[in-house]
Amino acid sequence: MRSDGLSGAKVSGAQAAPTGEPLLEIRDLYTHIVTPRGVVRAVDGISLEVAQGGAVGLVGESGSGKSMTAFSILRLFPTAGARTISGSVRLSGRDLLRLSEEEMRRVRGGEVAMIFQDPATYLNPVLTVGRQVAEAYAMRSGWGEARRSAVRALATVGLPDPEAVYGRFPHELSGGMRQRAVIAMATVCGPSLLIADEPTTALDVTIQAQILELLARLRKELGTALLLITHDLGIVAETCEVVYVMYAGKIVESGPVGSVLVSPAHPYTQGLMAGALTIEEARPVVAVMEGTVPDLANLPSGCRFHPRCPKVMDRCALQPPPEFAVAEGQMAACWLCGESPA
Amino acid sequence: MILEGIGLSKRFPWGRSLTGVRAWVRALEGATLQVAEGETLALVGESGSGKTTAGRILAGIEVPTAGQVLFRGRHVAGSMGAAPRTGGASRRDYRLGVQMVFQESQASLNPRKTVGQTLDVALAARGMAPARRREAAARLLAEVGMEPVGTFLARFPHQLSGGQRQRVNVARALSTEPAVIIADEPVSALDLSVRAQILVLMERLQKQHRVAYLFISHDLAVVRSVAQRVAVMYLGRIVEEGRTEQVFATPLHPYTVALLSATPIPDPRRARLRSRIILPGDVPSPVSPPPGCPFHPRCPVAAEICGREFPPLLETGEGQKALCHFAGTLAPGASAPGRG
Repeated sequence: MRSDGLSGAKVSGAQAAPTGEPLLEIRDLYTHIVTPRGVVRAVDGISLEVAQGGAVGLVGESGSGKSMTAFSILRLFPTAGARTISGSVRLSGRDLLRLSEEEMRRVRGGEVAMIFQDPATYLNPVLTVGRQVAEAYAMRSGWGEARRSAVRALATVGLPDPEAVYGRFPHELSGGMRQRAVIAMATVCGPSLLIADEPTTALDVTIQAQILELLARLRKELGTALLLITHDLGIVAETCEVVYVMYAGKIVESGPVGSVLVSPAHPYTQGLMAGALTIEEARPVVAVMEGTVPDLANLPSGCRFHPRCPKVMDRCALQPPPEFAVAEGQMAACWLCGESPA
Repeated sequence: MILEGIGLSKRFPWGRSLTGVRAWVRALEGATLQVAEGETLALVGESGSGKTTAGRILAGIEVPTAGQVLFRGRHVAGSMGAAPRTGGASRRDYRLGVQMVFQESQASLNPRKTVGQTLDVALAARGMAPARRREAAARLLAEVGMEPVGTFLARFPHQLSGGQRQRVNVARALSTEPAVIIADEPVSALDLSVRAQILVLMERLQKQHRVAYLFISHDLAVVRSVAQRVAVMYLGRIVEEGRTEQVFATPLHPYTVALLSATPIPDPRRARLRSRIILPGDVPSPVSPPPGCPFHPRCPVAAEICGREFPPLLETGEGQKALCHFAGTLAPGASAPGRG
């Protein structure tokens, strides 16, 4: 295992904030997209925390709003018409939503970095890998120092012969190597938070194992906290400490991975877990949930899961449920989960 | 055996040098596969393993460079060694008897045809009279759970969800009353809850129609639940084969052990206790596969012989096979020496 790490880059922001404070604290975040079809309520009042150096999973199906949550943190939206309406996104106590565009630019790629599903689309095909890795660092220092940092970062992510890789073009690397290069690009400035949106979905399972091990190692060696967005419950079980389950723009359940995935309280999480297949045993395939995720521009009344819920009650269609505490650190937004809102 | 591929190889031309000599992509190298009536055989492997090429050859979409395809024990015309006029399976029987479902539900449907028209074309191919086709199309749609049938018959593919489109693809495959459906990653593009719905549908249809599936997938968790037998592919070769319980409980090939070890399990209590085997590097290029055993550069238990000699096929008494010099030496759950 290499120990040179990213020692040349600025020390991780992990030490900057007072202890006990979460690194990232999202409160009542609303991000809506104005489209010709109407307002798409992609993120509709969610709260989420990531501890210093922690690993948090954000799980959901497509159309649940999990990627839009990540884009809201970075204030970068892939679609026109997307806008954060209200809420706060505090990073080490500072509300990112109140920063100027110039200040925000320093946060991106500095304190917060993001990697995506398809590494090929996020690399510029006509620039060398090294130049792209060095770029974020060069914004803060000169190119000479940036080049040295980039080579170190390429070594840290486990690319063999980093000096040679520095001069290569993206098409000369395999998919797994490209994702390593993208991770080097994201971590060259020593971010305190790495947001990874389906980082291994496009990769083969043996390469996925390599990348997940790399992310775990970066956490350990650099203290980089991880917000991992995925649809794969197995990846969450193996990588994360805390999990948030998202459905139709809302967090429906959250808590320690050992609680939520072992004794899920929300019928949606229960459905996901009941339908989860595993290499450990030949489970009968059961389709617990009928239908699909609702259209975010045309949401059901009350609890958004009620049309698909096997345990639906009269109340569910009328009133959206608040979050109830169901166990130590575990919350579920479901009327079945008790009388006392958390 | 309803459908067999014997010693199938496929090479694709890859570039051309100044001297005119081409390099070849060896997509498939001597693969033998047998699908029994009404069973599900899973073909698993990573990208570049040759699983899709094997499926396409068995479906008659590709012609093998070497080897033969047999349908109901008779040679299929067009594959090597086939007797084109006498003794072969009729092209028509084979075409109707073996159908395919693809991963990309959208790309495999004609965007300018309604669901009804798509099914009509398939039913016409089977020789059904026009008068009976509409009713047959409606019956097929009902069978794949798309009701009200009348509404869906008039829909275009873009008006359907991914899960609904895949149901239409399954209905179209069923329209010829096939003996085998070759499904290439049929649920990989679908969300978890929809994936379960399609798998349940496929299982029900298998029971009702006694159709066999060649289920091509990279997802071992799905395979464990749907397949009776599994063949594991690596770099164009079948490296392990056996009944599903055998292969998952006592994998013989180090690659199978590594694949299982790399697959995350959704139970955090056990997920953290597992020791993982992380294979170093990438799958080598099929243009210039390594000498000896194709897996040896990444193999945790490779020895000197592995780089020199092609491995023998080991067969256990229980019908489990592995292509390895040291089959069975890497125990599942063991920590590999050569971690990368």
